[in-house]
Amino acid sequence: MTDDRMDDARLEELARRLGAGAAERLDVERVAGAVVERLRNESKIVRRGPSPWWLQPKWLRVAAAVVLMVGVGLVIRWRLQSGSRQSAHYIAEELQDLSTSQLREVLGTLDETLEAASPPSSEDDLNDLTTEQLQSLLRSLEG
Amino acid sequence: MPPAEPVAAPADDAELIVAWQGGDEQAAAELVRRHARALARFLAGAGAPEAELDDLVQEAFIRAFRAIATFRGQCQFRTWLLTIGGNALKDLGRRLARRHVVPLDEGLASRDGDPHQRAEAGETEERLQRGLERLPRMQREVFLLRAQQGLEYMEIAAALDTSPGAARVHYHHAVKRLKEWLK
Repeated sequence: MTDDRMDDARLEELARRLGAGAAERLDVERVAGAVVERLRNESKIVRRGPSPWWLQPKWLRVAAAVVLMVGVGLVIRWRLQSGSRQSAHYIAEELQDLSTSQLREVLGTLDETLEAASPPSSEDDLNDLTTEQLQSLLRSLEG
Repeated sequence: MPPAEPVAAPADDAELIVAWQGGDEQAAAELVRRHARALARFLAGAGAPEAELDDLVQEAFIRAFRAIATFRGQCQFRTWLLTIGGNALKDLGRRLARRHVVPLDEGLASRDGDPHQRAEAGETEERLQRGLERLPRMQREVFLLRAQQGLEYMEIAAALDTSPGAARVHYHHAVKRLKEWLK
């Protein structure tokens, strides 16, 4: 442009011409056909309908979360059960090895612990119990 | 003399939209015929490479038809379509930038360009094109909608989700900067 100044009208005139050549070369009928074809294909997909509800991502995520939670729950439960079973097993084995006096001593300690934790009740004399009764009592305390 | 048979008035855009929503493919084709060139001009002015123009115009129409339920007539269908075209062009710019075909800058238009296109464009038009590419997107779109498409600020504001006052400010900033670059 030779003129240094450009007024708004000239600028707008230039803007109106911008892209005019490219727009003229656009094959509008071809574009219209292509757009209609793409829309037709999309509507076919829509008409085919959505996938079953249980295959939708939302429900697959929910299912995965449920499976995970159940799995974690089962693992925790198994570990707790096997842990308590093992400790009960070890205690039962050790009880077999204890003498009557040792058993009385253990129960005495337990008795003291229980007395400290709860108000004193009618006192049974541990000295009157036999070895079998003491073992049975200890097992019942194990739960 | 027998009365002339009434000539069916061409349907307006709103009627064509309703017809398309009712499943009339020809209504969609007619909307494309009406607005494709204006859209192409807008996109080319905003820096779309001519090689991509056909695909971009198609993409803008497809997006518009998909989202037609959200068009509430806040502005003309064409204005709404042009803003959708602007978004499609922006997405294309991102894709091309990821492929390192063109600089990440908003330089969407090929500077080398088609020789035929270059020969056709005058020197000033080419400088204006380059100036537009350097403008922020909002200023560029407001300028094109106003100066190239001849829209009112109210219409531009509705399409670009801004106020008429802000649109006017964007336009004046764009004009000022373009004039400086074209000196």
